[in-house]
Amino acid sequence: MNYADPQVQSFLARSMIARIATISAKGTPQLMPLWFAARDGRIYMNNAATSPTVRNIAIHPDVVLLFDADRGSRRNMCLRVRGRAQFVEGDELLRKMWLRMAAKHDLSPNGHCRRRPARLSALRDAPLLRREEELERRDRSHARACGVHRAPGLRGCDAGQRRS
Amino acid sequence: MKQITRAVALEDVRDLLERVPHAHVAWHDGDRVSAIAVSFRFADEKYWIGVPPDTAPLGGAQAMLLIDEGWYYFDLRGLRVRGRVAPADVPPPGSSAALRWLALLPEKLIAWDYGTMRQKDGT
Repeated sequence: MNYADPQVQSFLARSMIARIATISAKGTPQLMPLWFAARDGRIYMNNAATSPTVRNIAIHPDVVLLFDADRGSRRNMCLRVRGRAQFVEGDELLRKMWLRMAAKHDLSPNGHCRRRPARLSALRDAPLLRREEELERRDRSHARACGVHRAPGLRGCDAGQRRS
Repeated sequence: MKQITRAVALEDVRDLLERVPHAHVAWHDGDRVSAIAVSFRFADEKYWIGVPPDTAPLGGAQAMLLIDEGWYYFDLRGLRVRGRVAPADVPPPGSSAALRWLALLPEKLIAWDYGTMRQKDGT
């Protein structure tokens, strides 16, 4: 199955989370769920530069991505993509990908919030000002620490029935 | 320096072991990584993984199981179990005979819940 196949594109549009599988220098497998955005034949994810996933792809760039059909019909299907990943940094790229991810996860096509977060229990007890400061600080820290992965050489996709 | 954590105890995400919203496994397959969606059962404190019969033999391989749910930031919860897989002596109760069942022998478990994000104790 080719990455440009309309079925693959449709599947990616309905999937909300990518699971990226990598191996460490010692051969230990790692599997991490991440938000993603697909654009121009590449799949972008963001993760901290110090994360095990980013460290792993610096050594073993061959990765596997798994996507479930989270929305729409055929929710029991899974798409698997093999490719090569690399860690890239850049404010402009990061901004564009964040916007794509935000639009996918938080906004309806007309810009309205798709859904309010349902679970804010941990922050609910904090004083309002402190909570805002904390969120702002975390956003700044996250923006500094994060780059974007991309898979420039997507080498194959296959879709199959979920085994559950 | 203040640190924020989303780590929780296994008990806090134990429901995921019963409901299993999404289960995937990655393993070291020769010189590369492989990963697939799997069926999962948790019973008698044992972890069972159901894979298609044509899946490459995994006996003895180091693997990571990921069970997660949620799309939105504060909804994301899950757990990762690192361990070794071995053919299961018996399949889990009520399991499908169409699958090959493996036992995951856990070595390390990490659970998280973004809905509980908080400042780390003692900082």
